[in-house]
Amino acid sequence: MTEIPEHLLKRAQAAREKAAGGDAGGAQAGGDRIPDQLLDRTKAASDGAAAVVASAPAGGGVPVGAGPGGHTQRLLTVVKSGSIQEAKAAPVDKVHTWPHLLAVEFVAALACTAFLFVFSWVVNAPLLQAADFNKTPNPSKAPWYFLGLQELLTMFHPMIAGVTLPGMGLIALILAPYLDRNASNKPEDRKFMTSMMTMFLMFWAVLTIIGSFFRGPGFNFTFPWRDGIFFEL
Amino acid sequence: MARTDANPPMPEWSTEYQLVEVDHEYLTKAVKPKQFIHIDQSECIMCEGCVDICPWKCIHMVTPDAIAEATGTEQPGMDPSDNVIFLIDDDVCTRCALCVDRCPTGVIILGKAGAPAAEGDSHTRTNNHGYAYGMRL
Repeated sequence: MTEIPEHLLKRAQAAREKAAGGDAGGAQAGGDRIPDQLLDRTKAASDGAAAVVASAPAGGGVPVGAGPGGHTQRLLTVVKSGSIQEAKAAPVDKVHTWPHLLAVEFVAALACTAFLFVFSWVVNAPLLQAADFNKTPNPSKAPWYFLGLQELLTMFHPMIAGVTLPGMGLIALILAPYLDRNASNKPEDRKFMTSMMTMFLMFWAVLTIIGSFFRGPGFNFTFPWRDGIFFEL
Repeated sequence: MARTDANPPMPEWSTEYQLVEVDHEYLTKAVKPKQFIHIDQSECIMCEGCVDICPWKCIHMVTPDAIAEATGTEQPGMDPSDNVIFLIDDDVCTRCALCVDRCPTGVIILGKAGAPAAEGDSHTRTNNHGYAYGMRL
């Protein structure tokens, strides 16, 4: 790495100290706010005296078109936070939704459709015979993904198990972006939310497993190793 | 994606720029058109209007971290008050000056590269230097 000149390091250090002191000082810093901006402007004027090119240096001068893709790219300006409006959000390097995201999503949708088409072609999933109310199945079980809910129905009043608890879950999902304001996507920063999700998954998995394998005729509790498995996929 | 005018390919950008200070002779030699966009940072409100309106997406607002190294000039981001940087791809820019007209604070100018005055660039708009508040002079 290129050596950073001593005076630049000193200037950055001084600015950092001033920024740290300014937070503590608060009202005191207000007095010399305008001179700061004037200083910035003067510095910008002297910095901008010559054009500045963002490109790769090579031995004995800058080659023409040294930027990405062989282009000449230029640093337009460095905006200081002391400009006439404070930054509301941290700037991010971003691209446009169309076509960068939507094209990928469209291809993903096509791939999913193709997969489902082939899968439903290969795997046979016929309907059962017509229902006979003289011969009802016992136990009568929902599809496996509803068995957690069916298991919940054995414990609470249908209003609670079928409406209130799932409703609370849905409302919690709707509120999730407002309750969880942690923007980090590193697992080590998301311990609380990771544990919440793990608890929910464990809770639901246990209910589904009990409903699938530990419920026999009359939806009574059984042990699968004693009475056999009452479960069809 | 088809390369159409409605969907121009984005210029390539880097996150490891090597910043080098060059003179106006280098710049006029490196790029064919002789006019250059300039943004005066002191009145920039970071609205990204110029980034948004550019038909070629050749202006970009990024964090100062994008510049890995600076030679012969101060590295943006060293000073903690450095907030964002604006980059332009001068090979893609067509000098349509839409950004100049779009800028709500009128701080983007389209001027010629040349030797600065002895006391430095005045950063002011004059009758023969760029645009003033969306009006061509």
